[in-house]
Amino acid sequence: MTREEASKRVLDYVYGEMSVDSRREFEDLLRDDAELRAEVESITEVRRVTADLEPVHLPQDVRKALIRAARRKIAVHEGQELDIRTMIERFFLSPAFSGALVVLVSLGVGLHLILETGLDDRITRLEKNERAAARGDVAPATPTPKKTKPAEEAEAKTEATAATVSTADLATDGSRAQDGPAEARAVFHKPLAKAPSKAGKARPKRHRSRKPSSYRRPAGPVAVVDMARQGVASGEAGGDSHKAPESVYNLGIKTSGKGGGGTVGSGRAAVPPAPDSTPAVASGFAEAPTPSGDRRPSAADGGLLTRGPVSGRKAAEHTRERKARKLSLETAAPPAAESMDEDRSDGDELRTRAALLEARKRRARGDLALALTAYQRALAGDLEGQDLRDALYEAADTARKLGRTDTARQFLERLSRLPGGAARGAEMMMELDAEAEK
Amino acid sequence: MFLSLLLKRRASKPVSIHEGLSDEELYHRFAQGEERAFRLLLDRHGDKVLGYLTRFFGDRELATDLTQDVFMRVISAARRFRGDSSFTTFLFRIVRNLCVDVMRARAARPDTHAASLDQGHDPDDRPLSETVPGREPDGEHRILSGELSQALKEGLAGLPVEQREVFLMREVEGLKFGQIAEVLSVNENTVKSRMHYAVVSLRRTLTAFKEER
Repeated sequence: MTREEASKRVLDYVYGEMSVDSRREFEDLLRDDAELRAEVESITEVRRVTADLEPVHLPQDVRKALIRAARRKIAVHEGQELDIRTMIERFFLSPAFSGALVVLVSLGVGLHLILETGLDDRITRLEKNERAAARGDVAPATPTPKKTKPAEEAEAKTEATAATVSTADLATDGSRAQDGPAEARAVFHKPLAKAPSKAGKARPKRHRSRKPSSYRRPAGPVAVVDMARQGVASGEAGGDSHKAPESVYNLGIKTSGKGGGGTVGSGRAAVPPAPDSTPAVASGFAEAPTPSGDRRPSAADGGLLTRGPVSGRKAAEHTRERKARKLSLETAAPPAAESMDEDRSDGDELRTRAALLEARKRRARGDLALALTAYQRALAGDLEGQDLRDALYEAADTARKLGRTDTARQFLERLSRLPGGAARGAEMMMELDAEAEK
Repeated sequence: MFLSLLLKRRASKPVSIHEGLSDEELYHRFAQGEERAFRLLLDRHGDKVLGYLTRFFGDRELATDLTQDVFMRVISAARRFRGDSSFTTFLFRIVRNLCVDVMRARAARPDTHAASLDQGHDPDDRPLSETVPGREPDGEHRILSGELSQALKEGLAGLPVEQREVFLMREVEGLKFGQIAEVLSVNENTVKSRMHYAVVSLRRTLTAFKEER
């Protein structure tokens, strides 16, 4: 490397842009050349002073502004490039969608649980009633109303009167007998007629009373109390002072209508009148005829299913029946027995008709268990006349085909009490007897 | 125990996978939509660009504004960057173009303080940015605290633009002569020549300053 070349390459040497060999050559030359050394020294001095300049830093606000701008740019680019698929993916992955999904699922589960619980409650209640009915305690499908104070008072008084009922006269129903007079149970359902009341519309109360008894059940048939027939009635209820007529219905029932509307009681129970109520009637499983000769439906119709020990085929039937009941609760209207309000009478009738129609359809299809349940619902409603007779006959036939002879007999008994139904009832009863003998 | 570990982990600076990437890769990633890549580029070059512009114009405020403009252009041009040249070259082309724009604008308005910094070869001919009455002393006054630094600043202000930019690119930015040649679109020898004259001029200024003292 010549001196001339070296002076041209001083910058390369100072800034380190020289190869190792060239550098070695340059340094050899530098050792001997003072002028060249001075030049290198002066450049190094300039560099050193430059390096001493105070460093500058980008202000944070500028930095943040630039990052925001970059973010906006990215967002704009992404927005331009997004196709529908990406947008849909983003929507499904967005927190808003996740939140909405969680809320919807929660609502759905909650609703489902509420519905399930409600249905189960109703089914459980029905089953309990049925079981109780099978023991002869209460009528099925009859919800327990809350007792009012006057009702309790009336009940207390009724107990004494009811105790006079003799169990000997009671109709038998099953294999188990009632405990005794105090245990004679009564089933309350729709009033057969209304008594005039100044207080306005009456809302008959259904009441089920059941108190623990010290009696032990003697072996024997189950007693069915029809207090209407026994002519035993009582009912001194508190509340309004409207007097009920001495004899309210053509049922041979005597009322001591001291309280609001007078309560007709039977067994241990009494129907507690509301302060402004008309008399309510309690009757047994058997239906009492109305003055017109016709009969009012009873919750006990078909609902009183006596059951023996459940086993084998019966158990299967029972399961089917439960399913059917659940289904009918979901699809059909609530049982007519629950709807006591006059305002709902039209709806009740429609429901009753619908239940009867459903029963016939199911019977025609061969779904006998479901059909029987539907018949029971229909017969708990406001069927009258020929419809009632037909329904009872069909229900009895269905029960017979299911092997539920006792239930069939109940329907037939009820049928035979109806005007014009005795012959049909007797005919099938004979067939049942014949089958039983076989 | 778990909490302390978690806190320790959070306290320690997270090591990003981006940090090992080259400028070009980072810029490419930013173009793909990674904001973090841009942050890193800003960390690497933000101060350098600001330092270059501050020393080039001798006006911190202007330099800050121009730095913002430079990086806005970097953001806008992300999609167009093909990677033919290095990111640094690309960045300093933008910087230089902005500088040229500003100087043209100053040349068009000679009455303002924005007269070119290369007007005064004479040490007494100070840039307008330092002499306009009512204007607050710029950041550079605060930055160049030492007397030598002040002398160097004056020497820089007295350099022709071509020499100044070459000197600053080499000294402040650390660009190689080849890169500077690429940015300026000139021969590498031309760059070295300009650098040589710049260094000689600054050495003269510093020597004169020392002699005055």
